Amino acid sequence: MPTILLVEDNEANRDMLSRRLVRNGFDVTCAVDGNEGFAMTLSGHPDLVLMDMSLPGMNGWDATRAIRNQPEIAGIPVIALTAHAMAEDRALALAAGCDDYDTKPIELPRLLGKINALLARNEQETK
Amino acid sequence: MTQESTYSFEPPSGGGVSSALLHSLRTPLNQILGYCELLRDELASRNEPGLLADVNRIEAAGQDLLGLIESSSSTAPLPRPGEADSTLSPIELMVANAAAVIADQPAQDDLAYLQAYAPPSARESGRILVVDDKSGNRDVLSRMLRKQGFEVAEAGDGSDALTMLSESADKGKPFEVVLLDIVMPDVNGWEVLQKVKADPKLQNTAIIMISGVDDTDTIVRCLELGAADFVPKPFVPAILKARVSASIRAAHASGAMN
Repeated sequence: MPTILLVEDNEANRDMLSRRLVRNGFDVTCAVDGNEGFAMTLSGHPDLVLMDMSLPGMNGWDATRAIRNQPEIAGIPVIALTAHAMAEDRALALAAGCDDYDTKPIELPRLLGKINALLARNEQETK
Repeated sequence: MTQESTYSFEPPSGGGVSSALLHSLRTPLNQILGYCELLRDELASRNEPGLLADVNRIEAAGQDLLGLIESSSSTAPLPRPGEADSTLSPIELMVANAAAVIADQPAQDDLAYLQAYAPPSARESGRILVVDDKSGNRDVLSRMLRKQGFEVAEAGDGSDALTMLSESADKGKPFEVVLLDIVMPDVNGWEVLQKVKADPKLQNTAIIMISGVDDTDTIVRCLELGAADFVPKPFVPAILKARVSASIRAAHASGAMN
């Protein structure tokens, strides 16, 4: 079962999205801010990270950069989640090293498509 | 206005709404939409059509509100009074409706509440048709009236309303009161009002116009065209009940004379 780390500070968002992902066959763990997100990526080596961008403490952009700068976890795909569909957010997320980008409200089929594409890509690369 | 606003909504000077406010508005809505999806998945394996219909309504209302929030974030200014069907912007009206529903809880010795929800007497009981093209408005109004003890049917546009009125009259069970929104696509409230007033078999049906526009000209025109009364949005439960009851009493009285 693929493992996903969901980094999201809003409790209801975290609960809702993690439950929807579990229903779709993922093993989900959660972190509540950027620092914890980075630490749990390092300790747990998830197959993929879903990263909210506006987080307290270390924000999602900084947490993603931290992951990219840590060689043993630098290859883990990160999908940025933001609340608003703004072009500059997308550019910022990609510049920080995110592999893909999705906006809230989450349309689950769309997000699952992005998750599965990145998981498949990474599986190809590790072969 | 017959009541003071109990909420504040201050768009910034630029005409749009600040991104921080938008974020605060969107987050809980997105949660509601997400949980609706979870609930629908959950309900798919159970036979509870009523609950599923309610979840779908909540989701549709959430989508509507999200759409309003998105449109208010565009640089286009909110519609001004006169251009829209309300002196309140759509979001303000939705907030006001929600505030009315939330405020509509019993407080101890709250006379207005007791009056609003005392069961109607026999001469005040009747069937009411609520006509509004916006499902959220229709829902708020119908719930309020049902809770007040009235029997309520709903129509989403003017031509449906005319059909329902005509059919129920043919069956000998005409509606006593129609609560009629003015601004609707296709057949609007003015046209429905005039057609009902011109139809002899609907002569005992009282029409109460509802609108977010409460300027003098609109109210006068409603009454001149034969409306029994006018109720401004957002609704105050006790006033709504008093006006509907009065119209039903009048309808029964004139029905008895004929």
